[in-house]
Amino acid sequence: MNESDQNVGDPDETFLALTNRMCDGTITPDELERLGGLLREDPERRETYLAYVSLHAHLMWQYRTGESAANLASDRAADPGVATGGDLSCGVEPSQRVSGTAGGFTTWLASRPVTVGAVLATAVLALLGVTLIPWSGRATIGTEDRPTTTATPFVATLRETSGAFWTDQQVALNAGARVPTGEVRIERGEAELVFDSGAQLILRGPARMTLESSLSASLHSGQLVAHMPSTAVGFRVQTPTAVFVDQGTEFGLLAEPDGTSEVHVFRGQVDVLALAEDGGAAAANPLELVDGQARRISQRGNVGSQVAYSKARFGLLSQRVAEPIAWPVAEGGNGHYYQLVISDKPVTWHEAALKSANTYFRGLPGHLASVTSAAEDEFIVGQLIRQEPIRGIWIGLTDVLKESQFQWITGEPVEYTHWANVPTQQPDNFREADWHGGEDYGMYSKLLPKYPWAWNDLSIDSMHEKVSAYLVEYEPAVNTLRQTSMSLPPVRWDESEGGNGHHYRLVLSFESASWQEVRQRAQDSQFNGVAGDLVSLQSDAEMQFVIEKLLRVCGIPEQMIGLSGSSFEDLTWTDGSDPDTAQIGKPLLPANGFYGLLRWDATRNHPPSYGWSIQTRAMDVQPSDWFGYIVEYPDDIP
Amino acid sequence: MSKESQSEFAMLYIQNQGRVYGYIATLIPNRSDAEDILQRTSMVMWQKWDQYDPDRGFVSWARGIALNEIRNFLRRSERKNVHLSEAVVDMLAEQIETSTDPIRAEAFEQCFSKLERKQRSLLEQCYLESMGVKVVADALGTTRDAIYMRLHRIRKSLINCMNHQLSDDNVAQQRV
Repeated sequence: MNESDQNVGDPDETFLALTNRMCDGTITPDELERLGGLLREDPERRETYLAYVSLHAHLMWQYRTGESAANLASDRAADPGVATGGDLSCGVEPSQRVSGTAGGFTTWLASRPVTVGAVLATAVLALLGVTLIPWSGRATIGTEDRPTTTATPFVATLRETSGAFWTDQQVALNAGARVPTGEVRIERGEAELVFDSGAQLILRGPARMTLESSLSASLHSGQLVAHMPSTAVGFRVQTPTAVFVDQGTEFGLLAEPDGTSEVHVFRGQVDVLALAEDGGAAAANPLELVDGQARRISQRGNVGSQVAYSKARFGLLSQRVAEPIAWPVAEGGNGHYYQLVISDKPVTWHEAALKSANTYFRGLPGHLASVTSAAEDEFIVGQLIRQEPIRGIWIGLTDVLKESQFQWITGEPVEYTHWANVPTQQPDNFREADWHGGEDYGMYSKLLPKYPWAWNDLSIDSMHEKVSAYLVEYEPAVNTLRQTSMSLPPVRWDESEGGNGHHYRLVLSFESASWQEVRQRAQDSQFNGVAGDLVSLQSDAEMQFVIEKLLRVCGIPEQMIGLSGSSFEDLTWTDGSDPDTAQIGKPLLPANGFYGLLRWDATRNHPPSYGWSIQTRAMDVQPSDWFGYIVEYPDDIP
Repeated sequence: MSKESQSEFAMLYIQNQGRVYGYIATLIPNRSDAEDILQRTSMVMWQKWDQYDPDRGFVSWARGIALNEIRNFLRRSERKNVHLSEAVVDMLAEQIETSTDPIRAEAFEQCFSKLERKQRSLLEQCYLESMGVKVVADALGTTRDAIYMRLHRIRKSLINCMNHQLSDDNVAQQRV
């Protein structure tokens, strides 16, 4: 008989005993029936049951290595009936075990890649990481010896590591591994740990740290940056000289070899507690540090002194914990999220636009930020840019489609502007002529510390200033936002000018695409209810109209047009007519199919073509990245 | 799915895997069954990631999927006599949604650290997947039932401790 039957007289004790046996897997079918009845009757009992079983579940999680996931199939085969030996046992001798320390999901995929489909498995494994390590880390229970293990529950997951990441048992962990309490170290590279509390810590080697629980760790030496979601408020990091308690924040922390520590609060609040001289309990009264503040503590017994704040001190590491921040509706905002991305090398406006369009935050698609009010402008400068040591930040503003007609990447009208007026009034297009070249891309800039942040226009190659930062805005999906292209309203070739009454639209695409894909996009688009197609330039007059109205004032050097053919000789326009091949540049090499494009040559920049000519290119050669295309919409009345 | 979207999934998955596991294992407190359901849940989450609604919150979304998988599991399980009935599991699931999480990380850590070293050691030995209660009992020269009793006492004292923590917090909040 089970010992728990001793208290069978007390109904509460009976209930708890049944709950207990439920957890241990020793419950009999009759008892299970009774437990179900008791739970059904009384919500308070269900509350007690949930508290008890939640604890059991939490303990299972803490000590979960993932190995039962790998052995799931064999477990099931070996255990078809009622659990008799207690569910806590896996029934396999410890000495034979190999520990899969990845999560069950990844282990499952690893064990059954064929079932899942190789593509998905590969993608997810690469994503979450999977590892198998020899289970040498833990002492096993010998038959003679008393148990020698110390309690080392798992409290974090190693999300990524670029250098060897060691536990104190000299086990190197791979990405995806669960990390037990105890000391870890990394000699070089960076390692990202996600604690079960949600706290995200990125260590830069050489560094030594001890994980104590899902809410605490000690940094003995090295550098880390931390991002703490609301679930991790109260997370404590101790260094040799002080204790730092997170109050919902992003911060950087250094522990130098002599024990001196330094904290820089990127956002939110960190409480600093002095350690007693003997290393004992920390002081009760914390010093509260808020964003933009930094502190250096070289010895125990006090909270050190204020030092100059520098996010740059943590370099790119600090970027990895900079989560987009909200402009809440409650504070007069629009509910969108914003993120300042600082790259380690210069980015062009087009790269920034494409990268922004391909990022998501909480499922919201991103785009280069559009700044449409003074309040939004103030929020961005005050909350995002602040004192970052950078000079320029791309935003989603450009007049590349038509000189001096700036437009937002989102299609929102440009009503509010904040162009710089010191040292000179912007936008100045850098004194270029009113068409090709010049400066077409909008950015926040601050040329000298004494100037305020304001807008400037800059050229694509940014010869005189390397721009390596851009501002992303995340907002609910609007049709235009998901597209990686932008355009202006079509221009009509009026009959009064000898035209055909058709409309012509210039589109800028941020990403490479084949001619067929581009043509499909053109055919899927509509204007005034009429579907378009890539332009057919049938006459010199039509070519001249396109040059004058669209090309001369745009900054895109290459536009796809509706010309294609399997060879140079049988090129045709999308409307079925034949081109005048004498006017078309021949391809240099033979290929299986060609398409046509309008290309600009700066050396022939004079009337009447202003450098524009029709060229051909092999069908399998796509534009390298950004390019334009021209869509023609026939007259709406046939 | 874009690389960035995959990366966001990975981050949210890693941050919340313990909570999802906890939910499943609370309703199905059997290790290998909970593992099975977790894996199925993870797969469905991965497949339905493009339908994820951030307003709903990741854990709440994952719970919805997990509960579905738990129901499917209970219907197809051949070992019906080791699990509570679907009706009771549904009642429990409903109650989880309306009650506060009994396992607050902070309270757990504090109470866990107050356990005697011997007690923590026993928890590890029994809960580690590579061992089993029988092995532990043999090593300690005692019976399995004795080990189950000790486990019961440790779990009860942890729950009592966390209850105190919770009411202390309430008192502290009232004072503010």
